[in-house]
Amino acid sequence: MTPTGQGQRLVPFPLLYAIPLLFCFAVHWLAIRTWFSGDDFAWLGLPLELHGKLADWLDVFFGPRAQGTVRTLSERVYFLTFTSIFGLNALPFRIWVFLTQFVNIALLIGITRRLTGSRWAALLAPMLWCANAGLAVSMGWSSAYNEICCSFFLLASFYCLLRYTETGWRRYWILQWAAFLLGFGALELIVTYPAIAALYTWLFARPYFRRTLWLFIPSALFTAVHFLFVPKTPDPSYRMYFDASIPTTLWKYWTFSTAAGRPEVLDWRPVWLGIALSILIAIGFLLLLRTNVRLTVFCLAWFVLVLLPILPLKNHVTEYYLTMPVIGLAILGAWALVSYPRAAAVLALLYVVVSITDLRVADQYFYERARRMKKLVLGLQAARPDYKGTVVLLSGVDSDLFWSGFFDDPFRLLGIREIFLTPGSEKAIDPHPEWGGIDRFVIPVDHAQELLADNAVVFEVQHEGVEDVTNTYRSIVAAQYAASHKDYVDVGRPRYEGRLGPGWYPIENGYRWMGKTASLKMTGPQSASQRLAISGYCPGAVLEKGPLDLNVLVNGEKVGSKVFKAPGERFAMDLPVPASAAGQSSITVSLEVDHTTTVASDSRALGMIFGTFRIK
Amino acid sequence: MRRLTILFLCVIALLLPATACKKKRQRGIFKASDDGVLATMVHVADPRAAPQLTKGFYPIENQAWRWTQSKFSVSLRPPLTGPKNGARLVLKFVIPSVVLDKLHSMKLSAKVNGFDLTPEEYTRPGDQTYSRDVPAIALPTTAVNVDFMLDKALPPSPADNRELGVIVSSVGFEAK
Repeated sequence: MTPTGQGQRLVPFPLLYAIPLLFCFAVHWLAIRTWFSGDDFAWLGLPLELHGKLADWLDVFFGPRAQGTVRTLSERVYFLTFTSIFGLNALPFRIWVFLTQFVNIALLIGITRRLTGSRWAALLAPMLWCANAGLAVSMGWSSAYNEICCSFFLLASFYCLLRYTETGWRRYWILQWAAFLLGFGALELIVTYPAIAALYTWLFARPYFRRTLWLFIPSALFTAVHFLFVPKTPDPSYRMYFDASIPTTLWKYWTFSTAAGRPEVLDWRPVWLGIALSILIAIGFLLLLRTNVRLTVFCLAWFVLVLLPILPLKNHVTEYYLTMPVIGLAILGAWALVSYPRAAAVLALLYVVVSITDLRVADQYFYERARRMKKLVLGLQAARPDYKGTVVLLSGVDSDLFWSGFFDDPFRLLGIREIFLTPGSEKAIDPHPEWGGIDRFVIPVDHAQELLADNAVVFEVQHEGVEDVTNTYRSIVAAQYAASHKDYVDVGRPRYEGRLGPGWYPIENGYRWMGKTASLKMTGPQSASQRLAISGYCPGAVLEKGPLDLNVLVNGEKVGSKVFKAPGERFAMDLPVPASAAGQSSITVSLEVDHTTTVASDSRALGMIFGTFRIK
Repeated sequence: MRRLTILFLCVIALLLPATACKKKRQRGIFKASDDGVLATMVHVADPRAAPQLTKGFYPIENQAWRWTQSKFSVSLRPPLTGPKNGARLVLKFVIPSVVLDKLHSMKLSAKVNGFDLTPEEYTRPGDQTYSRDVPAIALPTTAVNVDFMLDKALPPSPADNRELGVIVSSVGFEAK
C-alpha cells in the first residue's frame, strides 16, 4: 500500500512540522491581519442578545440562525467568547483560526504518513492543502471559521480511527466518536464523516468496517432533524436542485480545486489554463489507479463525499466549501509527487502557482475590504466620547464600503441606534435589491434636517478614519432643503436664512420681526392661478400710534394690502400673484409698513412679525 | 514531549510578530475640527472638500479627479459679494475620447439654488470649462446647492459597473 522511498528518513521531525506551518503562515500571511467584514458583525453582536435570561443563552447557543444552521462551537462559542474578551480587536480571532489550522496541519501530517507510509508525502500534503485557493476565505474571514473548525473535527475523527485500527485501543474509538459528535457543532458537512470512515475500513481495515456503520446513526438523525424541524430559508440561493445540474456543479468545484479555474479572466491567467490544468490533473489522478487503486479511490471519494451535500446548491457555488473536500486531493497529490516525482512535479508546480495567485488576489480583496470597514468603525468608536446621540449620518460611503458590512450593522456595537447615508450620497452605491437593497439607510433632505435638529452627528468617511463634518453639513443640508422647497419660506427657521433679503431681524421664538421694509426670494408660481399665502402676527405694541398699513409686492408690483387695527391678531393673507411671475424660477416678495414702533426696552424700529410664505 | 515543545515554539515564533504589529494600529482615527465653513471653489481631489460633493461623484482617482454620474451636485459657499453682484459658476472637467466616441455629444446644464443656467453642448473630447453667470438673486450668503445634469452618460458595463459622465477636477464660484 505504501511507497517506501529511500529518502524518507531525510525529513527530520522538526522540519516535517515546521515547514508546512511556515508555508501556511507565508501563504496566508494577510489573513492574520484581516479585520471583520460582512456576517462577522452579526456574530459580534451576540453579547447584545444576552439579557441574563436562560432563554437568551439557549437561543444564542442553539437557536437556528442564517439558513437554519446551528453551529454552536464554530460560530456561537467562538464569537461570543472572543468578542466578550477582546471586543472589536480582530487579532485574537485570527490567531485562533491559525492555531486551529496548525493543529489541522499536524493531524494531516499524521494521517498522510499513515495512509502513504511516506514522510515526504506527509510533508507535502498539508502544503498542497494550504496552497489551495479554496482556503483563502476560510483563513481570512472569521465567519468562515466553521470550515477550519470542522476540518479539525473531521481530521481528528479520522486520525483517531486510523490509530484505532493500528493499535486496537478502545480510547481511540471513543475519541473518534467524541470528535465526530462535536463536529456537529462546527458545520453540517460533518455528516459525511461516517462515509469516509466506512470507505476507509472497507478498503484498508475490513474487520472494522461493520463498527463504522454505527457512525451513520448520528448523521441520519441530524439530517432528519435538519430537514424536518429547521425552517426552510426563502433565499433562492440555498434551494436544492436534484437534477442534471449536479455534474456541472461538481465540475465547477473540481476546476477550482485543482486549478483555481474561474470562468472569467481576473489576472494574468487565461481561462484555458484552468480548464487544461484541471483535465491534466484529473487524468493524472486516474492513472494512479494503476499503481494504488485503494488509496486513489479513497482520496477521490473523500473529495466527492464531503462535497456531496452541497452539490445540489447549484446557485450557491462557494469557494470556501472546498476547504474539507480538497484534503483528499492534497493527500493523493502528495502521494503522486512522492511516487512519480518528475511527472507530478510539473502539474504540482502549476497548481501551486495558479492557486497561490488566486489566493493572494482573494486575500488582498478581503483584507482591503475589511480594512476600510475597520477604519470606519474604529473611527466612529474613537469619536464616541465626543457625542452623546445615537443617530449618525455618514457621507462619502461608496459601494464597496457599504457592501462590506453595513447590512450587518456593526454600528450597533458602538451604541449607534440608527445610521443613515447623507441624502444624495446613496447615488454612489449599487442598490443590489437582491441583497436587500439600501433603502433602510436612505433618507430625504427633510428627514436629515430633523435629525440634525435632534442632535444627530454627521461624519465624513476618510481614508484613515472619520471626520466630524456636522457643522459643514448643516449648511449643506440647508442649501439642499432650500433648493428642493423653493415655493415655501418660513422666516422663523434658520434653514431659510439664505432666502431672506435685507430688513429682517434675528429669529425670536420661531418668528421674525421686519423693520420698515423687508424682502425675500422664492420660486414663482407654475401658473397664474396660484396664490401667495402669508402668515404672521400683529402685536399690540405696533398699534400704539394707530392702525398699521401693510403692503405686499411681488417683483415690485403691489399684490395686496392689509390694515391692522386689532392688537394681538394672528393673521393669514391669501393674495394673487401677477401673471408675469408665473413660471419664473425666482420672484421677490417685498413687504412694507407705513410706520414702525420702538418699545422701551428695544431700540429697534419694529414693523410687523411674520411666519411663513407659500405659493399654493 | 520534545516534539510538542518544538511545535509550540514554532507557532509562538510565527504569531508573535503579527501580535506586535497589530497593537499599534488598533485605535481608530477621528478628526473633530469642523468650522462649518464651506469652500467657494472645490478641488474634487481635496479630501476636505468631500462633504461638499453631495451627489453623483465617485471616489478620487489618481489623487486628481473624480468621475461623475449623469447627475451630480455640489454645495458651495457663494463669494462674499455674491448676494449683491452675483457670481460666475465655473466647472472644469474632461470628456475622455472613449466617452465621446460612443456618445458623440454631451449637453451639460446646471441649476443654482433651483435657478436654471444656460446649457452647453460638447462635441470634442478633452479639457472643458463650463462657465456661467449666476444672478445675485440666486445666491444666499451661506451655502448654495448646485445641480449639474448631463443629457447622456456611459451606462454600466462589464468592464466598469458604474454609470460614467465626465471627469471633474474643480467646481466653484468666481467673484464678480
